Amino acid sequence: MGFPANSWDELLTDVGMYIGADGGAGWYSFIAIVMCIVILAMGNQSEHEKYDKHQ
Amino acid sequence: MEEQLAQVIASAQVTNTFFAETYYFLSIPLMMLIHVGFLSYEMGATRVKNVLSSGIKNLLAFSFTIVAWYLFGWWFYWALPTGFTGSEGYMAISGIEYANAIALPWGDSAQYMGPNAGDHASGVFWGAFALFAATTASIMSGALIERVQTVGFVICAIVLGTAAWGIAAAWGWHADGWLVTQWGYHDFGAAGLVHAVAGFFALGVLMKLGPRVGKFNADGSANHIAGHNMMATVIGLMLIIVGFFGFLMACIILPGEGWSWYGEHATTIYGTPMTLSALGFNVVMAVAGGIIGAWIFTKDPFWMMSGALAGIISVAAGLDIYFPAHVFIIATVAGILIKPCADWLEARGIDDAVGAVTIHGTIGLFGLLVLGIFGSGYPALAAFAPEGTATISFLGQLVGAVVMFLLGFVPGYIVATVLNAAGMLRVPDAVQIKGLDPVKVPAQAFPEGMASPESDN
Repeated sequence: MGFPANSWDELLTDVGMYIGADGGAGWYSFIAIVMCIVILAMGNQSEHEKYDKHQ
Repeated sequence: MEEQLAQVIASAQVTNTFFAETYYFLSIPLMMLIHVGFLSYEMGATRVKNVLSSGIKNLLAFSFTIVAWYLFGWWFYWALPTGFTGSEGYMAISGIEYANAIALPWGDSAQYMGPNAGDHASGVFWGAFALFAATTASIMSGALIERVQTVGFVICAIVLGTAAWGIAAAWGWHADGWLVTQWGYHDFGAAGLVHAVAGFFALGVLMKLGPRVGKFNADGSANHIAGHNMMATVIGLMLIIVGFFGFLMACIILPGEGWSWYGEHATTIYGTPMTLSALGFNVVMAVAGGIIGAWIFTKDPFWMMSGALAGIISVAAGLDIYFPAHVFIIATVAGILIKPCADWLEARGIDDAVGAVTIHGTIGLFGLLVLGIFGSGYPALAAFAPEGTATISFLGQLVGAVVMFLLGFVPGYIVATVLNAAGMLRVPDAVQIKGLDPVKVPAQAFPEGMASPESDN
């Protein structure tokens, strides 16, 4: 987290300049994957509860 | 003098780079219009009791496909051009090792998957490809309306937009793609890789999903189920066509950059010469031909606008090399074909609510084969091609058409089978009769007192 270099000049080359460029990016991607799976599972459960009520 | 010349050259390069970045960036919002169109089209084609559910499904397909394309799909495209072995191709811009270096959002390759002051290409190319991926999902979406479960559908969309389309693009839309190098497959505007794959993926799902309640009678005859708003549907179709201009302009590789094929002229993704003027001529001629062709038999604005789509799709594979009058002829034939093809499918018990299988699937394959007849002999790649690279041929286009059919249909059928077994595919009949909106949407599409005539609510 935080600024991944000592100055902006270091980042004006072909390297990432985003928050997490010094190693955290993979964790954000991992969390995003987990979030998608959990959201789909919750959405499916909610959807089926509604169907069950109306059958 | 030499120093000034160097400064001028450097300035010109900066201008070129920002022009290229801007060009692809602007193709993205234009392509968003495809999704505006699909949303309007699909909601308009839905009955009052299901309007919002159709909208939700469409929006979620777009959203999850984009995320999945970021996390996995981009990697498929760069890893698999030479086949499932993931070996490096002749151009050395493919293979698992290459994809690991540039297309994963973790590890060292993450520097090309986010803001990077030295990389003016990855994000805009990724964005354009992501919109292509989302387009495949939207194509399928309309076919399944009014009886597919939301999450089950989203899973179908992820598989289609990430794996099926990603692999199709790797094989047929990449200079190292085996369909291109070995068979001379040519598909400039993605007639096969986007439209046929999505259309036949939808067919695979439809075969497991079954028809809407009330679509077919006991004797097998079909009932027409009208959507609630033809204007929304027709305007939506026109917006899809507006978005296609962004889609097609993003299929061009601009000159003068490190990733360009040439310094002085634009090319297709195969490195063969290409101009925007070719699109200027051919896309609008295709729209005109498709509308006129559909009008001959149907006199129905829904099918006429669908004819416009079919017109573009029928010539998409060769938009870079067709003559405009030739485009008009092919597109008119495509417009004529769509209604009989859709009726043929319906007579076999397939309830494709918007004709997506025919318009995108059948016409996509038709377009590939037509190019095989008329474009035979054109080099599949440009001067950099390895010795022995195939030229465009009918056989090569036929092989490509079969591969695109299978890349769509097989995963669609398998995923739908699994989802069906898990009870995640079809909305229960009782809920379909009541209406999806009253059951699962905490909002209403229309003012109080405007109830659906079909709902028992």
